[in-house]
Order: sequence, then C-alpha cells, then structure tokens
Amino acid sequence: MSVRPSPAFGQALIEALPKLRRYATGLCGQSALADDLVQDCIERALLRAGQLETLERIGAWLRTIVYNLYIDELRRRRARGTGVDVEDIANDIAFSTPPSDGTALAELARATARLSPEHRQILVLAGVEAMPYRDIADELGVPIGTVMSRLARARAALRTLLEGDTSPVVSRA
Amino acid sequence: MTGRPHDFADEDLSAFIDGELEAGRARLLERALHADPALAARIDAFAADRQNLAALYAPIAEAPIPDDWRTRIEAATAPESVSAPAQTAQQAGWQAGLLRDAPARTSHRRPPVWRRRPALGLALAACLAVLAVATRLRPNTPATDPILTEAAAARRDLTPPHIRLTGLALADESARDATLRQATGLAVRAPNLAAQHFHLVELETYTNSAALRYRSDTGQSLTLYVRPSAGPPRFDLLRDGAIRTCIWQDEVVGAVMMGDMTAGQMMRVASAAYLELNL
Repeated sequence: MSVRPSPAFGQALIEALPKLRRYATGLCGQSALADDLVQDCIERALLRAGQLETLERIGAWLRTIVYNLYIDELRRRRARGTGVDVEDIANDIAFSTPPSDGTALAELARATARLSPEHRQILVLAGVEAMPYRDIADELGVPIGTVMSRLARARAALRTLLEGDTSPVVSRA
Repeated sequence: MTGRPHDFADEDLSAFIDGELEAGRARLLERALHADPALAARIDAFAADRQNLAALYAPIAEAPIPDDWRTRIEAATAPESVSAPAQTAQQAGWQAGLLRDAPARTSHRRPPVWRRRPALGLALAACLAVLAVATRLRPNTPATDPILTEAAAARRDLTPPHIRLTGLALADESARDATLRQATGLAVRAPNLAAQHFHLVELETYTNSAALRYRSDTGQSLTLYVRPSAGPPRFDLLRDGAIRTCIWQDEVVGAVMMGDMTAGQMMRVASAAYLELNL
C-alpha cells in the first residue's frame, strides 16, 4: 500500500510548478511539449512522493524527473524517426516573448535549440534559474569542476551559433 | 581560447559572469579585461547571452498554471475522509444499480462470452482493430456516459479508493488479482501488458470497480477501469485531445482504457488487455 501524498507535499508541488514550467520550456524549447512534460512529472511525483526526503529539495527533485522524461521523449522520437523543427521552436518561443527585441530572442531560441539537451539543461540552471554551481553540481551528481567546464562549453557553443556558424556544434542527443 | 596574451579560458569567463570565479583569479581577470578588448568583448557576449536567456524564459514563470494541474494535485493530496467520500461512492453505486446487482452477478452470472466460445473471443480480440476503424473517432468525450465518467474520475484520482496497491504489494499476483476480483465481483485478473511495454504500477479499488494504472518504459501512462457490465454490448474509441479512450462492454464486464497514445497503439494494447483480463 502506498502512502497518500500529504497536503503539504501537494502545496509544495503546486508552488514549484511555475518555475518547473519555465525550466521545462528552456530545456525542450517548446511550450506545448514543456506542459506535457510537467503534466507527466506531476503524475510521477504524486506516485513517488514517498521518495522525496525533504520538501526543501522538491525543486531539484522535480527538475530531475522532467529531465528524465524529456530524454525518454527524445529517445521515443528518435525511434519513431520524428524530430523537432528548430524553426518551430524559434517561432513558439518568439510568440511567448514581448514584441520588443523579439527577433534577437527568436535567434537565441533557434540557436539554443541546436545545442545538446545537456548543454541546454546547464544553461537554464545557471542562467535562468540562477543556481549556484554547488547546487547544480549536487543536482546533476557531478563535480563542481564538471559544472564549470560543461557550462563554458555550452556558452561557447551558443556563441558559435549566434555568430553565424551553422555547422553542427554538438550532436543533438 | 587561443592567440591572446593571457591564460584565461572560457571556463574562467563563464564563472566570472556567474560570480563563481575564485576571488584572486577574478581580480586578475578584471585587470586583463582593461588591456584586452577581445577578451572584454568575449565576456560581454557571454553576459549578454546569459541575460537574454533569462529574459526569454522569465515570462513563463509569471503565467498562472493551468487549473487542471492544481485540481489534480489537490485531489490527490487532500486529507482522506474516512466516512463521507465512501458513503458518497456507495450512494453513487446504488444509484447506478451496481451494488444491488453485484451479489447476483458474482454467484449466478454466466461465464463471459469468450470463455463459453473461445474462438469467438479470439475473433473479437482480433477484430477490435477493425471495429476501431469502423467506429468514428469522436472529437469530444460524452459527459453523460456513466462508465466514462467513473473511469475519468478514477484516472484523475477524484474518487477516493478503498484500497491502493503499489510497489511490492503488486508483486504478489494471486493477492493482487484476489483484491481485483473482490472489488469488482468479476472473474478477472490484472492484464499482463509487458509485451506492449506497459507495466502495472498501481491498483485502486472502489465500490464495485477497480482502476489499474500502467506505465511504459518511456513514461506513458495508461489506466484500465473495470466494473460489471451496466448496459448493452458496446465498443467505442474516443479521443479528447491527446487522450484516447477505448470502451468495451459485453453482458458481464465493462472496461475503459484511457491513455496518451495513438489510436493504433491504443487498439494494440486494448486487444491485449481484452484477452488478458478474463480468467
């Protein structure tokens, strides 16, 4: 018999959703897919609430679930031979941003979509979620030096794309 | 980075804009920036990208979350009431004529048609796909369909279960299937859908019915709701957004399968469940 999740867990989960949705969107680049990932994450979190040791770590726990769900989705799409059109991503994100500087942001969205999921993940954690490197290292289960080098490679790859080099920077996982 | 009169790498620049570079090295970098325009341009670009990424995604966290997410979580985590919900479910069961009929169905019901005539059962299973093609996909699920309403409530955890089995409690097949039979009053078992890549993760029982939740290796969820038949034989394949619903009912069993999948996948899984469900 599983333990029914507590109301406190439910409240913490609800409060975490706006940022989780932002993280998911940054990770996959598509608002519709991001919402699907978050919705699946909610189901998985409710089913596995007992695995969360402390509510203080719910944000990291949920992000890990979303990332794993996203990798599963990418594998499923690869198996089906379907992918995501980078132009669709740029348009999708551009529609959700203010009109000012929309072109530049669309370029950024397009370039980010060409990065590997691993690079997008660390760019979002450091640049959007503004997490300290120590916390990122703990969440990803890697040394802090790996966080620094991976983040630097992600930023360099993004620069290369934004400066007009359209050759593949990294393979998309 | 190469070709510059210093030894600062992208790793240093990246850590610097995040405020994570060690203090002594950060001071050296600040001095180098004054003397090296290319280095300054590189770090400015990194900083601008960081700022633009934050601006790109910031509005998403400001938007309200969908109501159904909140409703789903609140329903699943609300304090359990021992008496009131159970009474409501019981009353609902009586209103549907299910509880009244349950003992009679258990002790006097005829065997399922596919047990009396196995060949017909196999043929029915094989024909599910054909039936699905012949059945028009309906864009919206009818709100007044009782079995569908019950199944949807079970899938969304809106109905408090009497028993919930997960994890190791599901591993004991005989105990698990006994729980399922006791709840539904039907000679059924939890279908093994491993060949379809779905694994049972939860069994919930309600008054005279049960919901079986499955997960695929890739995270797809599937709910199979089972109860005694409450109407004429039927077969329906419905669609509501990404959720496909397959309803089948004979003179003994009524079942609803719901999941986020294609019509073809739904038919394959439903056919397997149809054959596996009955003892």
